[in-house]
Amino acid sequence: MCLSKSLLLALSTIALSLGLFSCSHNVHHSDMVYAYGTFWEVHLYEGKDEDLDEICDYIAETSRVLDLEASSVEDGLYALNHLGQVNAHPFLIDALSLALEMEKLTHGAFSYTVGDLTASWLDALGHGVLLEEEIVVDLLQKSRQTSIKIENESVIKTGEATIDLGALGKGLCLKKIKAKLDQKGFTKYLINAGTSSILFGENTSKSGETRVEIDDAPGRYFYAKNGALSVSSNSRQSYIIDEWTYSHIIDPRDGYPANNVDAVLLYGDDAAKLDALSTAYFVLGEEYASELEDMGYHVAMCKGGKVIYESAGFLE
Amino acid sequence: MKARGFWSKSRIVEACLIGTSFLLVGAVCLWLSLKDKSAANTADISLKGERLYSLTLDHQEEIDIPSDHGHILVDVDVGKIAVKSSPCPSQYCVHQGYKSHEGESIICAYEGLSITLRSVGGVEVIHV
Repeated sequence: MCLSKSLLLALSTIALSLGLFSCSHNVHHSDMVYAYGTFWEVHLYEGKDEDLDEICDYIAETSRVLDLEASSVEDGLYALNHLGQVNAHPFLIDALSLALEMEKLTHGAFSYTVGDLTASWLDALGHGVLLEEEIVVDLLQKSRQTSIKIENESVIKTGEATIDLGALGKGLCLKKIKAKLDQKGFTKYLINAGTSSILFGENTSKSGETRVEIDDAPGRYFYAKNGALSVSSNSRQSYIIDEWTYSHIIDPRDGYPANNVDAVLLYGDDAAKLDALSTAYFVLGEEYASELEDMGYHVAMCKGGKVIYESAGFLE
Repeated sequence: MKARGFWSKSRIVEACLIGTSFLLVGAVCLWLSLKDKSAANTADISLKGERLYSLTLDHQEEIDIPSDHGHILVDVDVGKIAVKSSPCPSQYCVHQGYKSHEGESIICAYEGLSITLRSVGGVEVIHV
């Protein structure tokens, strides 16, 4: 065999080996971010480290915008609450717009002005006592007297209650991330915002599906792929006083912890709306569950360790 | 000396080229494997071959593990893990410091402790 043929053979060997390696080599970039008061797990099964960094940076940035304590963010929620008017960050505008939409859609069960009431309840329940009725009435009144007005980039707040967008921030962030991933043409990923909001692409298994097991209804599960899940549940945060369980979700209609169900799971394509709706329908309960199906979402509601309402074909 | 039979001069050159190409491919594969090493989010802690803990690295925690010669103190700190103190004489496990990537491990041969990091690669089950 002449030298040129040997060289050709050697180069072919290199090309073939590298080709086989790249086919068999599963890319997996993952990282954790602390944002929105919880740990996020970000898994990308394609792309580069830079793509992962971009997503993690975006999560951290939007978290600061909606952070109630972030005094250094001039166009964020802290500034709005303390100054009453800001030229708002685009993410804040989107979050507030969504909050206004959800308020209208949910029979008053979603409110972006019950942050003070919720914080007071959690403080009291954490100390093993109930919040005094007088305080509930006062904070509820302040909540109802507070509103916002959006004019282009400017947001004006009236009223004394704190605007709190914790009930939809994570979902909105996931929705924006999905748009970024779609733009890059990525389909293989999983972003878990502390189990209350999860964005599913495809995983590396043959089916690409992730099995989701429901702690509030042991033995029940479903398979997720290319969708978003939002969970509002007592199992992650609730308080027991005198053998009675109090939820961390406050009903904006009467100012007391909601107690219709133990958990609501919503699965669909719009992570932002799912996040807000799971909180609202946790408050509303089983009676209103079919409305969620009319909106095109899969729903499951749990109470007492069992599923009491589920969309047909949703759970196994 | 003149090459005879199968191992003619051209055959030797050919063999060298193919051998070199395999070495090159191996080196590239190794480099890519190391380059793509992901952050771990789970650690398995075993003592004398028995798994004691399989824990996520999403929190801060100190774990006190009773061993043959005293206590081993393991420190978990959001995304990384280290042996903080050990009764072993060499202190090699302590000097390894924090580990945070999948596939990495910390071994204390004296006490029989091993900590192996892994990533929930291709997450297949989630509890909500």
